[in-house]
Amino acid sequence: MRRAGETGRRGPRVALAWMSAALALLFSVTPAWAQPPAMPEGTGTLLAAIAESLQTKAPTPATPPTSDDRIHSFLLIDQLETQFGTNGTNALYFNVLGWLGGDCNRVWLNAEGTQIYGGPLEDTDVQLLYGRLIAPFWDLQVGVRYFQSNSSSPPRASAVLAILGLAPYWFETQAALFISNKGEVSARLELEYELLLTQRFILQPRLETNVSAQRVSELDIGQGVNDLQLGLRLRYEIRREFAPYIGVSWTSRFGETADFARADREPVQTWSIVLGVRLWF
Amino acid sequence: MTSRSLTRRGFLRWTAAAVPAVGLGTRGQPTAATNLPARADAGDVLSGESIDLVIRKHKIDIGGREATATLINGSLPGPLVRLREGATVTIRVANELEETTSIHWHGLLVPYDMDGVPGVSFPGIDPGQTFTYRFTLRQSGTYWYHSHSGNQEQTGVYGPLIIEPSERDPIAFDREHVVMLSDWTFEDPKRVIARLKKLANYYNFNQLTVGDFFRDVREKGWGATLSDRLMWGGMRMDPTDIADVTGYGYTYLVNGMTPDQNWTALFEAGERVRLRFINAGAMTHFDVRIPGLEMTLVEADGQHVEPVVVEEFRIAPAETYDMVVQPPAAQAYTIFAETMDRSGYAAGSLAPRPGPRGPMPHRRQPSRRTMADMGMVPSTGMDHG
Repeated sequence: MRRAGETGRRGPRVALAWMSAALALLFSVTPAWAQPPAMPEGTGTLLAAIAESLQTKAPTPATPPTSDDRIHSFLLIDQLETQFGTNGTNALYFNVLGWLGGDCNRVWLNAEGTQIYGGPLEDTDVQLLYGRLIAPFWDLQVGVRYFQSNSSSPPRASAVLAILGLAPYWFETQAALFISNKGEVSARLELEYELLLTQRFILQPRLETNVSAQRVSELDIGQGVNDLQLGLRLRYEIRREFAPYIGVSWTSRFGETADFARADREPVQTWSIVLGVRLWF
Repeated sequence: MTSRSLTRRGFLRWTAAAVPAVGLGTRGQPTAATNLPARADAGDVLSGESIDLVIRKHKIDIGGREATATLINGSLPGPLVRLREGATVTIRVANELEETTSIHWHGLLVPYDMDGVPGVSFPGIDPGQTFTYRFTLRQSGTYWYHSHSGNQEQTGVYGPLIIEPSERDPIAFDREHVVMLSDWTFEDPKRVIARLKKLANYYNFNQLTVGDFFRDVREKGWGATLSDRLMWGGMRMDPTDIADVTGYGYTYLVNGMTPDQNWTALFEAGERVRLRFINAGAMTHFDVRIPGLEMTLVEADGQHVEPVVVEEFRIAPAETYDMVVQPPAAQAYTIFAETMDRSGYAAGSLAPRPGPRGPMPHRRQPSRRTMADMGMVPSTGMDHG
C-alpha cells in the first residue's frame, strides 16, 4: 500500500520547489571523480599540428573507436508471482524496474501492481525518473509517480525524490520521498539482500515499509508508519536471466492505517505463499 | 582435423605444414656461423618489404562449432608477420568490413601516424579503404599486431609478429614455435558487455555461498571469518571477482584451437625449442606450465632478459614471453594454460609427432583475492569508504 498524507493548500507549490531544488543540485554538481582530467598546456596546439600533418582529414573515424559510452537498457521483472493468501485470496503481483542510459545518466521506470483473481488491477504504482550516479553505488533519482490503490479510490500524481543503490554489506536499497499533487508527503524504504545457498539457489529476504506525514482518510492512510512487508524468496537461476522462485510474504498495517483496514473489514495482517518467476533482459 | 583457414586461396596456416593442427616450427639458427634460418614449414608467414593484409568477416570453425569472426587474411590467428630489424617495411591493410578498422603494432616503436590507433593517431581505415603503413624496424623480438577498433580484436583480428635481430641472436635455439593464447566468445561481444553492465558478476559461478561461510568458520573460526566478510562487505567488493568473463562465457584457444583440437608443437629429442608465448586474449590472464618440463625465460615483451628458469608463469593480455625448453625425451608434453580464475584452460601439446598428447594436469581450485591483492594492508587502518 502506498498512500499519501492529507491535504494542504501549499501542496503543489511545495512539490514544485522540491523538484526544482533537486534538479538544480543534480545538474550543478559533477563529482570530481566523474570529471575528465584537465589537458596539459599546449595540447591544443600539438593536436592541431598533428591534424595538419596528416595526409587525410583530422583523426575522427567513421565509427567511434571505443565503445565505452554506449547506451544500454535493462528491464528487470523482479517479481511476477501468484500470491496464495492464507485468508483465501489469491492475487497476481508484478514489480518491474527498468533503465535506459549510460553509466552516469539514466531514465528509470518502476511499475507495480496487484490483480486479485477475478478482480480488477489494484495498487498500481508507476514511476518515471531521471537518475544520476552521484557516488559509487548510488543513484539519485527525481521524477514523477502515478498511483491508484483501487478503482474506487482517487488516483494521485506525486513528485518523487529517491535514492537507489547498494549499501555496505550488500543491501540493495531504495528510499523514496513522495509529495503528491494534494501536498501529501510520504516515504518508502525497500531493502533486499541476497544469500547464496549454492551458485544457483539464491535466498532473498526483502523488507518494505511506507510512512506518511499526514493522515489521508480518502486513501485509508494513517499518520506515521503505515505498513511493513517482509518477504523471503528462494529462486533457482536456470539462467541468470530466468529464475523461478517460491517464497513467503507477510504484510502488516499499523496505527491509523490498521484502523482504516478494520473499518473496511480488511485484514490487518496477511500471510501468503508466493510462486513466481524473476526475469530480466 | 580440418584446415583452419577458409579463404578461396586455401592458405595453410603458418603453423600447419603437411599435417594440419601441427606446427613444425621454424628452425632457428644453426650453431654454425651462418645466420640464415632454414624454413621447415610454408604456412601463412608473411615477410619481406611489402606485405598485404585484408580484414574481412568469415564463418569459421572453432572447436567444431561454427562461429562468425573478423579475420586477417582468413585465418585465426592472422598470418605470422616476420620482419627483420633495420628493414623498412610497407604493409597495406585493406578493410573489407562494414565498419572502421585499424591495425596496431603492439610494442613497436613507430612514427605516431603508423601506430594504428583510431581517434588518437590516425582516423582509422574506413570500409573499402586501404591504409599503407610504412616504418623501419628498430627492435627485435616477439610482438603481435591487432585491431584497435570496436570489438574486432575479440572477434579475431590479431596475429603474431616476429622481428629477427639484425645481429646474431644471443638466444640459442634449434627450433621455434609461436604459441598464441586467446579467449574466444561465440556471442557478440557487445552482448557480453551489455550483460556485464546489468549484472557485473554474471559470469562468476564461483561466488561465496553459505556453505563457504561455514567452511571458513570451521577452518578459521568465527572471529576471523566474520571480520573477513565484514571487511569485504563493507567495501561491497567480492574476493572471488577475478575475471569479468570466465570459462562460462569463453572458450580458450592455443593458436586458434581448442584443447580438444590439440594444437601440437613438434620437436626432436634433445633440441632446444623456443616457444614464443603471446597472450592475444581480450581480458584473460593465463597461468602457463608444461608439466614435466622446466622453461627458461629469455625474452619478455621483445626485450632480452637474464634467463630465469621457471616451472610456471602468468601471462597477462598483450604480454609476450619467450621460453626455451629442452625436452630430454621424445615424448609428448602438455602445454597447459589455465586461466587465472581457474574457470577454464587452453591446452596444446609439445610432441615428437602429431597425435599423442601428454598427461592432462589436474585442475586447480580458484583462489580468493586478499587485501594484499587489493593493495591494502589492514593493519594500517585504511579507510575502506
